[in-house]
Amino acid sequence: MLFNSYVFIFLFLPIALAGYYVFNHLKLYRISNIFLIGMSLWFYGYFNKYYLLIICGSILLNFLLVSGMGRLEKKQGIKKFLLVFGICANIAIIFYFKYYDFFVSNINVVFKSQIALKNIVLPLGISFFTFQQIGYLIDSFGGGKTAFDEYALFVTFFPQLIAGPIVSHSEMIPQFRDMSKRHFVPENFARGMYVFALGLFKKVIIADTFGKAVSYGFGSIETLSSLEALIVSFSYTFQLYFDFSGYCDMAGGIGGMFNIMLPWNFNSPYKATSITEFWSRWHMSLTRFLKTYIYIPLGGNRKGKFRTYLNIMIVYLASGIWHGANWTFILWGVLHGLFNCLNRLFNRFWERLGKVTQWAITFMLVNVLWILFRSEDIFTAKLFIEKLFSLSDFSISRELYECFNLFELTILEKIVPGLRYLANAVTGFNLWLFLFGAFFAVLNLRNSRELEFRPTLGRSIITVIFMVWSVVSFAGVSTFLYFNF
Amino acid sequence: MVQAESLSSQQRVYKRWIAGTILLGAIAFILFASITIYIDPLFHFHAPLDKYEYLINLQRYQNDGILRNFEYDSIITGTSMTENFMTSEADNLFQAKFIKVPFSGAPYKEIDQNLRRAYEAGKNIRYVIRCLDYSLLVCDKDYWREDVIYPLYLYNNNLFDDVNYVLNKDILFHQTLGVIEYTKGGNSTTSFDDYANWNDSFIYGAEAVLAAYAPGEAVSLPRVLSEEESTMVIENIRQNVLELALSHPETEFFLFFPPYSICYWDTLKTNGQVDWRIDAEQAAIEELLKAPNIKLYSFCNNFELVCNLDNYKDQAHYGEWVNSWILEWIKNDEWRLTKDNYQEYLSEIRDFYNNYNYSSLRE
Repeated sequence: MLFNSYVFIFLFLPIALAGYYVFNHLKLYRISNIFLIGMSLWFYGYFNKYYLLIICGSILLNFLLVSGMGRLEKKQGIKKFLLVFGICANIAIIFYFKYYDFFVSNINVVFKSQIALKNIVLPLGISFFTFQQIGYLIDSFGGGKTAFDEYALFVTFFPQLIAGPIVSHSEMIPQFRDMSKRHFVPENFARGMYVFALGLFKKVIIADTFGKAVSYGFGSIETLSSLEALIVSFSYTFQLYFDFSGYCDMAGGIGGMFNIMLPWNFNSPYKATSITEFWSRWHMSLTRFLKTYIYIPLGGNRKGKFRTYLNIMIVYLASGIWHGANWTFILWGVLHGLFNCLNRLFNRFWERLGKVTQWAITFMLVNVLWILFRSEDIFTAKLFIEKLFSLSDFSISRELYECFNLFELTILEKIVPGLRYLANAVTGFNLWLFLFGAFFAVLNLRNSRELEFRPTLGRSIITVIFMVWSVVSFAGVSTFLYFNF
Repeated sequence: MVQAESLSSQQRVYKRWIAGTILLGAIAFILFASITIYIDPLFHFHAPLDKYEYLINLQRYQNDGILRNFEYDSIITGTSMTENFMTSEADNLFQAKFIKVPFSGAPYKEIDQNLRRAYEAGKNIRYVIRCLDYSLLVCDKDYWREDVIYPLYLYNNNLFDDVNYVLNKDILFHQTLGVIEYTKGGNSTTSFDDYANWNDSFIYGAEAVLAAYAPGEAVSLPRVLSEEESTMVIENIRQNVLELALSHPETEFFLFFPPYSICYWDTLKTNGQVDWRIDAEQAAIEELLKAPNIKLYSFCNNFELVCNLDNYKDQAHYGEWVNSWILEWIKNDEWRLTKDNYQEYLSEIRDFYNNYNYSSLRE
């Protein structure tokens, strides 16, 4: 189930919230945990019930391993074996579902073999809940007891299940156990509603509009002018930003409605003035995971310069692989790693540059590397980048302009006099409005964590506008090709 | 004590904010939805309102509403081969009240499912005029076009998923408000003569037809219908045509194989599929003639029609005057296939289309 769906907003979320608070009000705390697990499984299995087998199997396996380790306090050898077995089993699960076909197709290319692909449909969020459980396995080596319902809730809690943040048990389970959080807290709930509506708006209205330009651009790379390639690359950079930021806001907002604080995952990343800073602001829970469970165990920066750089490269390689089974993601990860190393190596020089220069270089680097992230293969990315830097043509096609022509905007432009003038005077006004508006927003506005929330009429109206505008944009009308017999 | 009081008064403010925002949101959603529910541009809830004029031009979005909520007693349905029919002519010929619900490129199952919706809505149907396209005959009985994104929420009785219709800005802005604008513009509700009718949008004649297709040079070896394919045809016909006709003896079904042009047969000849196609038709005919309330027609042996490319805009599609002839022929029982004559008809077309001098088309 998606947050941006009718069924989630009008049916699932109200039932989940009402049930949770009713059971807690009756002091049936464990029942409320089980209820929330049940709801989360409904959320997860909504599109494909077979996914439930995978997530339930994964939870059961990891819980048994941790329980087993807990009972073997003095038998360190067997404990270690269970830990290594557990990590390998989790990696094997994720490898099978996510990387099997990629691995086999590469083998086929290298050895000219014809091993059949399995065309496995990737279970949603498998990268997130598997990583979460690997973290838990490692942390539980030293001890710690968790009831099964708490553990299952920690893994399945629906606001963070499909796209993070990657939560650690130490920040979730104490919250589940905190009885003061089991009561309805109007402040948290109100703020949660507001942040959810804001996130929904970012995703549905902003990110999806940029998405149209991106689909158009990446669908017709051959015919793009240099300026169009630049606009499309910015559009993708903003689509990703508002998509992910919107998702994090929605997750955080729903968490807030349940009085559960999810970790910070997104901190205005395009304000970063270096690649290193970008990674401390973008997908922060992933960066934290990779740092805690890969970088530090490898020795971090404590084993000399060479090892430090090697460790950085390993972390970013892992990040690239984690993001998807394609050479584009791997190259994207490696390049981010490389720029991180360069940033570290030439730090003194970098610090001497002005802030604006630092920001501009960082933003352009991130922007160009996102092209790899979006392209189907490295060849496509190369073609796109060539178009971008060919500096040969600066025209903009009508199709690209039209991607930004939201009908409601065009109505506003007919009614509001100032807007009407601008819309008539500036060719492709809506495109520039979106592009410059997005630049302004990502560089100047405070992110939702920093927003002060007051229960004013204004906030109420904004919440309703964001909510209604987004919800009525969920379903469209598809056009059919008549006479295409 | 004072602190506790202020805390609780602060809580009251937040609670009021939550209640107020939810109420405001609910009002906004209800208002938004009511406009579409009231005007109902897709006729999902009711027939057109007298005070508005409706543009009918979205087949898959509006046909279900037309079938369930319009006043009528007879139906014209099928693929693009039926789009140019004029119901006013059918009304006069049959003394009935026809609607036209074409589904461009629809497989047999899609048309059958939509016809069933009319019966489920309690309609008493006197006549159904429906085309049976050759191109979709040798298909799995459950074949459904995957390239057509179907608005399924319009086609079931689940009230909850109507949210896709009533809380949909595309529908509100373009369809619902479109009705108001269309009415204000002095237009009238689209007639079934004009609905989906593309007659005036194309050029007809040999030049247009030959430009729209490239006759193949290489002639494949002739093939015949396999046992498996024959079963497929029979199952397709049984499930998606015969079953409904047999369960509604009160309705008379006028079914016809549309007369594709000689160029279509040229393609078949090139691909070695003339006998294969006629075998499939034979299997279908033998099934269809089992129902007493089915009257079956084919115009493929009307060679004067098929070989005159002035009637066509491409290999298959004919102009609206051909639709008019078809109505008259059906009414007069001409070109009808019966148990007594169908064998003779099949050998006639088998002989003609196998031996036609197709190279004359390219000269």
